[in-house]
Amino acid sequence: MTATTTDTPLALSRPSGVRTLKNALATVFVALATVLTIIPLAWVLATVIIKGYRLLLTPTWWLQSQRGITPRREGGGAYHAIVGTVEMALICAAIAVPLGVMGAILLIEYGRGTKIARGVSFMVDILSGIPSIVAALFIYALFITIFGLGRSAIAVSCALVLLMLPVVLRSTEEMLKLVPDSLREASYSLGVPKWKTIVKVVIPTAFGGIVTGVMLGVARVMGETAPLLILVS
Amino acid sequence: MTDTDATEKVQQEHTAADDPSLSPVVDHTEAHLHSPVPTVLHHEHHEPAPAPTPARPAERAPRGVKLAKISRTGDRVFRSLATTSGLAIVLLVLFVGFFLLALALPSLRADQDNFLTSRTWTVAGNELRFGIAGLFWTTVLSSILAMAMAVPVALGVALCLTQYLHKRVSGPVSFVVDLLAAVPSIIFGLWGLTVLGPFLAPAAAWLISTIGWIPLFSKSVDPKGSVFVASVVLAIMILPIVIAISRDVFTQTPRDHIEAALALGATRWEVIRTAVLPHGRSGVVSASMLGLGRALGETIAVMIILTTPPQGAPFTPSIFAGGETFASKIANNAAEFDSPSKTGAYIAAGLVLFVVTFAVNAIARIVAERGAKS
Repeated sequence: MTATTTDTPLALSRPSGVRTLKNALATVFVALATVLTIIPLAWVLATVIIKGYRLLLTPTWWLQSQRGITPRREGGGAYHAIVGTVEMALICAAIAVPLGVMGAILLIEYGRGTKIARGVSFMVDILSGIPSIVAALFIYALFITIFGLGRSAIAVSCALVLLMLPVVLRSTEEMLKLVPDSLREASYSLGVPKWKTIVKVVIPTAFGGIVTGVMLGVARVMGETAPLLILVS
Repeated sequence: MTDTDATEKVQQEHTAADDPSLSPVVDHTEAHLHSPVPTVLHHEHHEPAPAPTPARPAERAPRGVKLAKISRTGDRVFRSLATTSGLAIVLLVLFVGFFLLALALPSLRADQDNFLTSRTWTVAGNELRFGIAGLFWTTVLSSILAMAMAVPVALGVALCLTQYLHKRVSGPVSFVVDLLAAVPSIIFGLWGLTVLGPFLAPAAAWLISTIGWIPLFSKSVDPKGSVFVASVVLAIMILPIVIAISRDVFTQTPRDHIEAALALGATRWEVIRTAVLPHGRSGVVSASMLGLGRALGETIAVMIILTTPPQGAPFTPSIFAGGETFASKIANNAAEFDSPSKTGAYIAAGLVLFVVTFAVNAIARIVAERGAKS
């Protein structure tokens, strides 16, 4: 047996027809899948741009609100929507960013591998899976049913915090992980306390990445619709 | 199994006792080559070399030597700040479950129908009659359909990005796929209703005429705002997350495994089947579950697309019928939250959605962790 196989090395070196075919089929499938994924994006973008670009070029779109505009009357703009979106995103970010960054610092700098870190990490996973409508219902239950406050933009911002927090925390965590330990050790060896090391060395090093995470979170909450349906009337 | 467990334990002790710079990879392969007994030997023989005992006194030395007095107040404050925000996050999630349950309970008690099996939803009058069977069916059907469509495509894209394309090409393609994740769901909803729905209508008609005898594909009144269209849009929406996670897992396939397969004469597909897919299996399962969780909770796109069947319409299992998911039901009726009992009924639906997504995400995490361990 062994002698015969060593005699025919050239015949073995090429894959058989079936194997080549399977390989080709896999290549085709993979290419098709990629094209299939890019089509919807291009399609959505094209639809939105072709149907909407004309209005964006007019100044009224940017500078007028829908005040006094009835369904029968044409005109008006998105001024109020732009202001409202930015306002709510800013309030939301003001709460979610400190909480998210401090949570990430707890996970990476203070509690690596401890029980607290594992619990927090698990809860962040759950939080990132919470549907926006459930977050909205929770804030509705807390603010409106229990505290007796009215439906308001601030309630929406609080609901959006639940959605933005995990995005900010996870991306900050990834960035803090990338900061080399040698930087921290260099700082400690100069007698710098841990908190100052974090504030002056670790966070500046990871700053770019943290900003990216914050922008991702802001992008997510800006496009969120469900909490507004429930929490503003 | 016991073999790997043993080596793992040994390895953990190793990394814990020795200094962390000691490469665990080398240990692992060596330990694997030997049977359990030589592993222990190898362990003993290796231990004296890095000398773990002197490391600790060296660490503690500055305490004995009186250096400058450093105030650690800032440290304590900062540490407690971090811990507080961590605990706040934990509390937040617990509160979500707690408050939803607290507000849903009175309505659940007053419910005249069976909450789990009834399909009626009458919450307007004094008598509460509501159940989640219909909502549950539509939610799960649309999400599972979306996952079934999205996962094979996502796998193909992730493989294409990591195994087929050159880095210079795969970078921009990855970027485009990530862009897909940034499109707000309301835009997908409007697009699905006005563009994709009419486009898919012929395909739906063809499916009905060919395999309409299966109840799942039976003919229905309004094929436009159907579960079918909704799940195609959901599939597009969950694609980016499944692709992103699978891509990350596939790039972590050990280079050695791929090269070993190539050296044995494997074709590119065989490399994928024997090295890349087995390595990434748990990651892909976890990614699919995360995608499923997303699809289950998606609100606006589904709400815009699905036509709400009239109250009391007969139940149909067809994917070409309209329907309401948990999320779309709540969002559709958000303006009517006026009495506590009515609100409680919707919050009960939200609670079920929370529990389902919680379970799906927890499974995803457990699968991912198990995969990371083995």
